[in-house]
Amino acid sequence: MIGGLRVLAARLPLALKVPLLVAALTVLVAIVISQVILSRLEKEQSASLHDLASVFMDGLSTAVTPWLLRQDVWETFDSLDRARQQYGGIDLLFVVVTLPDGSVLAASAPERFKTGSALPAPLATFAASGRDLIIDERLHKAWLIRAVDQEQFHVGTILAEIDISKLLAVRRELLITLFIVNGGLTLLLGTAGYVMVRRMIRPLSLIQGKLATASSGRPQPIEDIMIERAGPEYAGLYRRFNDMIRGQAEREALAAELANQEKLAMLGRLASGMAHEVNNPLGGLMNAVDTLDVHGEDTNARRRTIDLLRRGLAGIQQVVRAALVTYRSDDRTRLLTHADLEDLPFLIQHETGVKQIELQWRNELPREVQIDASSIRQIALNLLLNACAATPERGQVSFAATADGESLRLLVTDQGPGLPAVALTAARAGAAGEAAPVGQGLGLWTASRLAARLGGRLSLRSGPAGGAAVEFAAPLPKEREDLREVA
Amino acid sequence: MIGIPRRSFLSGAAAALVAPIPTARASTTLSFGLTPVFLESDIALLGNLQSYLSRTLDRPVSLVKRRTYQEMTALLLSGELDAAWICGFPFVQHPDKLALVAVPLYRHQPLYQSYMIVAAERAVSTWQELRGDIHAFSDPDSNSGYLVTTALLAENHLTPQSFFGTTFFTYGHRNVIRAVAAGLAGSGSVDGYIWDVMSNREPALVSKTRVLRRSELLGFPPVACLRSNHESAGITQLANALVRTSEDDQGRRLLSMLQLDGFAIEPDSLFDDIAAKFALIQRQPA
Repeated sequence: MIGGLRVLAARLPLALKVPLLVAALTVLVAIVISQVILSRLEKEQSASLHDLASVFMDGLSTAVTPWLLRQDVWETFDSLDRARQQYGGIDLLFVVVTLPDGSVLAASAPERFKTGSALPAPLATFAASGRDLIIDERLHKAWLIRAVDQEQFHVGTILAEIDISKLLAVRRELLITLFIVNGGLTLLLGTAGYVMVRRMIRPLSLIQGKLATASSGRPQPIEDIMIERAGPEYAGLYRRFNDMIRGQAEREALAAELANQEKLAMLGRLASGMAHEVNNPLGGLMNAVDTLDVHGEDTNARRRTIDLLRRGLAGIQQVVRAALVTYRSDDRTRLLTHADLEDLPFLIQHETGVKQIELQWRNELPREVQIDASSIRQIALNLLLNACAATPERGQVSFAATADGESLRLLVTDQGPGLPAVALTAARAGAAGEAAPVGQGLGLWTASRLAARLGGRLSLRSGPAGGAAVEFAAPLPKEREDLREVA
Repeated sequence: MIGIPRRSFLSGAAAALVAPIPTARASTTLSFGLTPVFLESDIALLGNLQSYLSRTLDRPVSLVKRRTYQEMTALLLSGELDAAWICGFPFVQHPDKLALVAVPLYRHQPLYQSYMIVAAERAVSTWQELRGDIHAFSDPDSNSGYLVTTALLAENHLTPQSFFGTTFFTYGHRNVIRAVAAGLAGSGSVDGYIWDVMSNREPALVSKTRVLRRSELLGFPPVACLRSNHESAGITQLANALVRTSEDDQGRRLLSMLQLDGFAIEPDSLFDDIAAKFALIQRQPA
C-alpha cells in the first residue's frame, strides 16, 4: 500500500506533486487547528453549562425548598412553572422534584411525572448518582441534579432535564465553518501552488518539448528571445542546453566526416588492392595477347591462350563487380541475400593473397534475410579487413554467417595478437554514438556504429593464446515494414 | 330561589334608606379583607374597588389580602378587619360571631355553584370515575373549592382520603384550574363563578379543562363583618355603598370587571345549604 503510494508519488508530475503537498499540509494544519478549537469550545461550553446549571439550581432550590419541606404539591409545581419562564439561558425540558423515597412531589411536566409516582429509570439513577451534571451528547440532553438537604437531613432532590441542542449546534456550525474555510483555503492554496509551480517549471516544459522534437529529428536550440525572458537560473540552463545541442551537432558532423573518411580510406585500400588484382593477371594477359599474335594460327595454342585470357578477365570482372556492389550509390534499402556475402572474399583477395592467409569461409545464410544488405556487407568487410591485417603471414582467418528466424550472426576470427585496448574503446564509442577515437580502430568503430543502427551489437573476445573473435549479432524484424523503419 | 334577586333588591333598597347619611368626614381607615375569591393579580380591579369604596364612604380604605381563608377569617374574628369578602363556609363555621354585610349578585342572584373540573380531553362522565385521582382543592375553608366535594363524598360515605389517590390545596381557584389544565391534578374542585369569569378572560387556560359536575346553587361568597359590629355606622355605610354600586359609574365599572350584577342584603338563611354540608362532614366519623 505504502510502496504503491511511493511509486505513485514518484510518478506524479512536479506540477501536481507540489500543490498536493501544499493541500495535504493545509489539511493537516486545518485538522489540528479545528481539533484544538473544538476541544477548547467543548471545555468552555461545559464550564459555561456547569456555571449556568449551578446558578439555575441555586435559584430553583431556594424557591422550592420551603414547599419541599412542607411537601406542598401546588406551590412546588408553581415554583417550577415560574422557574421555567425565568431562566431564559437554559432550554429547560422539565424539572421534577422528588421526595427522599424517590416518589415525585411535583414536576413541571405533571402529565409525564405524576405526583406520588416513582421516578422512572434512568432518571432515578441520575437522581441517586450524587453527580450534579450529566451530559449525553448523543441524545442532545443534559441533566442537572441537586440534592436538597436541611439541617443534615435529606428532604428531596431536584432533577432538571435540559436541551443542549443549541450548544451542540454551535459546535456543529463551528465545525462546518472550519470545514468550509479550511476547505476553501486548501483549494485556494492548492490551486495557487499548482499555478505557481506550472509557471516555475514552464522553462523545463520548453526544454522537454525541444527534447521531444529532437527524438523525431534534429534538436533545435532555444530561441534567444526565450533566453532573454527567462530568469537567471533558467537562462543559464537554456544556454547550456543550446551548448549541448551544438556539441551534439558537431559530434554528429564529426562522426559523419570520420565515417566518410573511413569509407574513403577503405576505398583507397580496396582500390589499391583491386589495382593489384587487376595488375597481377594483366602481365599474363598481355603475354597471352602477344602469344596469340605470334601463335594465333595454332589452334591448340590459341584455345589455351584464349582460356587463359578468359580466366584472367573473369577474375578482373569479379573484383570490379564486387566493388560496384559494395559502393553503389543508390540509397534504397535492399534485403541481404546469401549471394551478397559470397563476393567478399574477392574484395579481400589482395590482403589474403599477399600474406598467403587461408580464409575459412562458411556462409549459411538463407536465400534472403530481413536486414539491410549494404550495412551487413560493410560490417563484414570491415571485420574481415581487420582480421586479415591482424593475422600473420600464412595464418588463418575464418568467417561464418548464420541466421535463424530471430537473429543474424557473423563471426570473424583471426590469429593475430588479440584485440588492443584501443579497439575496445572504439567499439564502445561506435555503439554509444560517440565520436571515433583518434588513431586506430576506425573499422571497429564503423562496424559498431552500423551494428547499433541495426539494433545489434558487436562482441569482442581475445583468445588466451592470442587471436581475436568478433561476433556481430542483430535481431531480425518479423515484417518488412519494421525493417524499413529501422533502416 | 327565583325570588331572591327581587328580595335582595328590596333588602338593599331598605338598607340604603335606613343607613344614616354621614354628616362628618370619617377619618379612620376602613380595613377591608379580600381572599382568593378574587381573581389574583388583578391590580386594576383592586385599585378600582379601593377607590370606589373610599370615595363613596368618604374615608380611607385599606385592602388587606391574605393567602388563605383561615388567615382572613382569623383577622376578621380578631377584629383587625372591619369587613371581609370571605366564603360561605367560614361564615357558617362562625354563625354566632359573623354577620352578613352584603352578598354579590351573580347572574342577578346571590348564588353560585361549585364545579368539579377535569382535563378537557379526559374521557370521564361521572364524578365516581375519579376514584384514585390526584385531586386539587382550593382551600380547606372554601365552600366551592373543598366543602361541596367533601360533602358529596360524605353523602356517599366517602372521604377525600379514601376516594382520591392524592389531594392537595392550591389556595386559589385559578390555581386549581391551572393544576388541572397542566395535568398536575386529574380533577379539581373550583368556584363556578371564577371558572366562568376566567373562561372569558383566559380562554386558552380554561379551555384545557371542562366541567364534570356542577353543584346545586349555593350562597355566593359574602362580605361579612363581626356580628358585634354589624350595626355600626361604618358597616351600615359599607353595606349601603356596596348595594348602590350599580348606581354609580365607577361602581358599574367595578361590577363589570367583577362580572357581577351588584350587591344585595341577604338573610343568613341564604347559607343554610352550606351549613348543612358543614354539618354533614362534621358528623362523618374520622
